[in-house]
Amino acid sequence: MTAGTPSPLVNLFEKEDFEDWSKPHLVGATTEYSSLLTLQAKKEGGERKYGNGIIVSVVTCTEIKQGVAIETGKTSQGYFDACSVIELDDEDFKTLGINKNTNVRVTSAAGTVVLKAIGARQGLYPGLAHIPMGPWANIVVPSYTYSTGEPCFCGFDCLIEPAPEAKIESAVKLMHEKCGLEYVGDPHYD
Amino acid sequence: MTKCIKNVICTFCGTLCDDLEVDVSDDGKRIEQVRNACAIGAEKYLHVGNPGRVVVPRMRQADGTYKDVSYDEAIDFTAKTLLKAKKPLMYGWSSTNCEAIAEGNVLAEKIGGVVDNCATVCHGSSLLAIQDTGVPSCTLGEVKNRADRIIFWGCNPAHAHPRHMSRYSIFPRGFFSAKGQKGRKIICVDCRETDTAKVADHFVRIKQSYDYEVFDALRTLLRGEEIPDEVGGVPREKLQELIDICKGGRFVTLFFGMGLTHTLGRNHNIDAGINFIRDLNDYTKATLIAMRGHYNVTGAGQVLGWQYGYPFACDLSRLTTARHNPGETTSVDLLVRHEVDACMVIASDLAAHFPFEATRRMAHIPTITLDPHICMSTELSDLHIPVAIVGVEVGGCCYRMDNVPIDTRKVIDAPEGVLTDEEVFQRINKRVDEILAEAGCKDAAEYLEYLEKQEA
Ligand code: SF4
Repeated sequence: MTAGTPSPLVNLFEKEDFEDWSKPHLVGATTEYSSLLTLQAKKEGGERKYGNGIIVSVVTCTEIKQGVAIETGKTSQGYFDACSVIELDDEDFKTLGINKNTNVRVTSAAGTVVLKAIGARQGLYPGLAHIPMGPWANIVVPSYTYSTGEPCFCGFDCLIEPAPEAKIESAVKLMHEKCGLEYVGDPHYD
Repeated sequence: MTKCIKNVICTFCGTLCDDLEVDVSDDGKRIEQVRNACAIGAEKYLHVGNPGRVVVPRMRQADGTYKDVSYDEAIDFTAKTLLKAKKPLMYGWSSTNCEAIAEGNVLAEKIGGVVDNCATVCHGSSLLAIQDTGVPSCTLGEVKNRADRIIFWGCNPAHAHPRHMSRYSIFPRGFFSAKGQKGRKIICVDCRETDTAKVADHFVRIKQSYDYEVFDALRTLLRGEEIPDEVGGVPREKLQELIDICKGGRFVTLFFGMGLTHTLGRNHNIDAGINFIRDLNDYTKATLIAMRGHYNVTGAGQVLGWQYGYPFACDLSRLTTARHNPGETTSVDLLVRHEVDACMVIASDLAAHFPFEATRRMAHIPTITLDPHICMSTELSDLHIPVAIVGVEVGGCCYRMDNVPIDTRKVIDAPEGVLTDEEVFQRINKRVDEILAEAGCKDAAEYLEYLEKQEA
């Protein structure tokens, strides 16, 4: 998240819990680990619906389309199409009350990103979602590594809300914006 | 007329297929056709000729635009930036050859950097578990010729290693496995019903992040003890069936992927997996192999391993000793905690594959990226040095996922003037030596003091 824009999750939880757990020394400046736990608790309680969104556990994995697109180029349309999506279970589409191919806002403890919700290409179950590895997925991947060096690429909780009007940013623009750098475009691919 | 080059090694994924046939134009500059490769491998070779290839280094200006600079300027900038930094991070190495990695380590030693490779975000946990527990492993050739029970756990070769199944694990007929797929039983354990699961004989769906429990349950069953009716979403009968299948085999191989290393438990999952395989060896022959992603991430670990004793996250910033402390000297942690003050990304895409919090830090410190193509990292760096593509424009040694070294080949010439990774490192090394000599310093630590004095 760019400094100054608080995580939308801040409003989701009682303030004290949130502040206690979000101490930088524990998990890094923006990885508000508590929200993960709180989300987890809510999930265990059987309440996956939150406001007009749902809470799902997200995994990020490689895919052949993404692999091919990496070779074509990370600024290509193919890469955009392959990676700027989130796969949901059919059941979850019903709970969310949206059709397939609608844009959604995905929020984790680490950040927020707009993605296109599509039907599962490889079987999921309700409550499990998949984002192909790439810049879009990484916006929401928490960076806490449990002292192994490996962040939580699989199995972190996210809130998914319908956002049909929101726009999905291109990879380079997204990275620049989130990093607080000015995006000036590039003759090599613009 | 085109000429056909046989037995080309595909440098994309850890399978390192060595049977590609590539047609190149007469002048040896263009690739016309690729045979035997999978979709990804073919794209790798065919897109080399796409327009827009960067052939000279690009430096970012204050206003965010890029300016072309010469290799000499780029190398001077890199040497100075790295020397000026107290603790630079040199991350990547997984898509280049071992020669370049060795040369890069020389540089890291000189400037006192932290060397870390892609294992840190893919199979680092596996390496930790292997250090703790050991690894009963084998080569892919043995799998092909002997294995009759294959388990895929938390990996999806159908997507990530497309020819793995046809060359080694499911379909090929080997010396003791003459029946091919018919003689093998394939088990897939995953939380998603992946395309690999669809070709498996048995698919076991476990609840996300319950891998450790399921391994433990399997070990308990193997010892003939009782387990609850259901573990990690899998009924007891199903687990018993798995055990029976494995025990009934002559040679079991477990392939595991990032489904294990990226979820809760990390190295403990792998620990449990290794111990399960170890236990199975009481009944039959059993082995396991990590499904390494990039084609030479194994080699990066090998080179670091024989030079310093640690396969990844090797901190050389003390200049006299190498330190390895996962969670402290690993790239993501270093970046997130703001502990490095310059960054060099080599043959990998940090910005596309690190959690964003780490990437943001990398974007705000001086960063140099060595990559043949434009990628996320190059777009966030201060300097992009284009290099020749290993396995296409330059050969070199690479390690397959089962730790077998394979010498890759060159099929076409690199665009004129473009250097290889190894050459770039040699020149940076030379430049660093020159700068140190000019300042009359014997190492990077002295040079830092010298800089401080100059400023004062
Ligand atoms: S399986 Fe891997 S090594 Fe083999 S052709 Fe495909 S990408 Fe290349």
